[in-house]
Amino acid sequence: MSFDAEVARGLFRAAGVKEEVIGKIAVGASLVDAGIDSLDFANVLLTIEERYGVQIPDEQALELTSLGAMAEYVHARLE
Amino acid sequence: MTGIEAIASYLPEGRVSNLERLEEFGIGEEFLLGKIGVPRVIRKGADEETSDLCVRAVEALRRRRDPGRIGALVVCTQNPDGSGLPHTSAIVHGKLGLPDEVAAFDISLGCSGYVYALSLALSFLESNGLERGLLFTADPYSKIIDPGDKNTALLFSDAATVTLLGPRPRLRLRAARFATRGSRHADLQRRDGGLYMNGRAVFNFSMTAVPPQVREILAATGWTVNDVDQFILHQGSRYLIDRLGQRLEVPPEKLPSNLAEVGNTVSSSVPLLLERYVEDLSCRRILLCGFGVGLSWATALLERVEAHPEEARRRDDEL
Repeated sequence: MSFDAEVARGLFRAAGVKEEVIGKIAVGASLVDAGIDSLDFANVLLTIEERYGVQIPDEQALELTSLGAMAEYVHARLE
Repeated sequence: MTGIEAIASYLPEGRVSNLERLEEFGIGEEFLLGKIGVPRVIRKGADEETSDLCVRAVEALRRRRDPGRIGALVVCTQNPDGSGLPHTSAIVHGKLGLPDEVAAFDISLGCSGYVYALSLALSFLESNGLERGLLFTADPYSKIIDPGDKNTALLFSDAATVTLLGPRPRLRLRAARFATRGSRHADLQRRDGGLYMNGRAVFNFSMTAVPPQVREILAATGWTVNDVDQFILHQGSRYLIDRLGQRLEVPPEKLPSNLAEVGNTVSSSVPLLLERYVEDLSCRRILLCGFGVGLSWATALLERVEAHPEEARRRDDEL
């Protein structure tokens, strides 16, 4: 299973994030700046955990501030 | 058969506008209304105790009907009068001037409390040959909330409900399921005198624990989502209800909410919503689900005892 920025966008969609927000998400840019709030973020993390069978501890979650960081983190755990 | 005859409630008069606190908490109106779903929270008066909220709920019930001769009085709360000794149900018993023969006890549960307490109170009445009981929910979180804590201050409200249980019910308990994940109790607890909530952990728990329990009880009863008229879920937040509805594939019209009017009232959230449907004869099957503190969750299926209006009319015509 791969996990890249495009797959991540699909997960944001599955987590119910609005298309207008997903459209603003750039790989290296801040998710908060794109309009991802704390509840969307929690649901996206849960979606990732369920789809990929990974656990994202709170302290690690705080560092996943961009799509790129998210993809990198999950990709490393799938290798 | 003992079941639910009536429900009444009390909402204290105090209101705190969340809309006026957006800047203070650094959130936008869209997030407040669209995701949290609570434009204002309800606060009891400083001189109102938990038992007073219960008494006011009974007064509302009495304005509607005579509750009859009560055999048992149960209060579900984790924010009792004073320091919790004596039990709040005894104080309510005293304030209502009930006779010595009336049993009274508290149940310590949070958001799952109504389903647990309903099952327990019904069993208690039936196994002891008692005809009627009053089941209260009253958990005024304003006693323990830090007004400056964004995670909780914008969400929780004070309220009380009373459910009259008796031998001529409108709704009966068809089935119930209960569960606990005590290993995660610290995710939502009273800590250093205030309420602490790990929002992400409670969200994850709700999203992963609730749907399997709901699906299991439906399957075991031979019902599908289509067979249930209303899904009354604990009013955790707007976002949580929406996402749970999505996971359970329940259409929005079957997912009532009172967050915009009353906020998250802990164990009162389920009976406050159920109160809307107790006398609605077209609402035949109702699912109740509470989840939160413990972590604890419980689901119940209620079935209407009275005939459907059309069926009753047909019977009248035949006579």
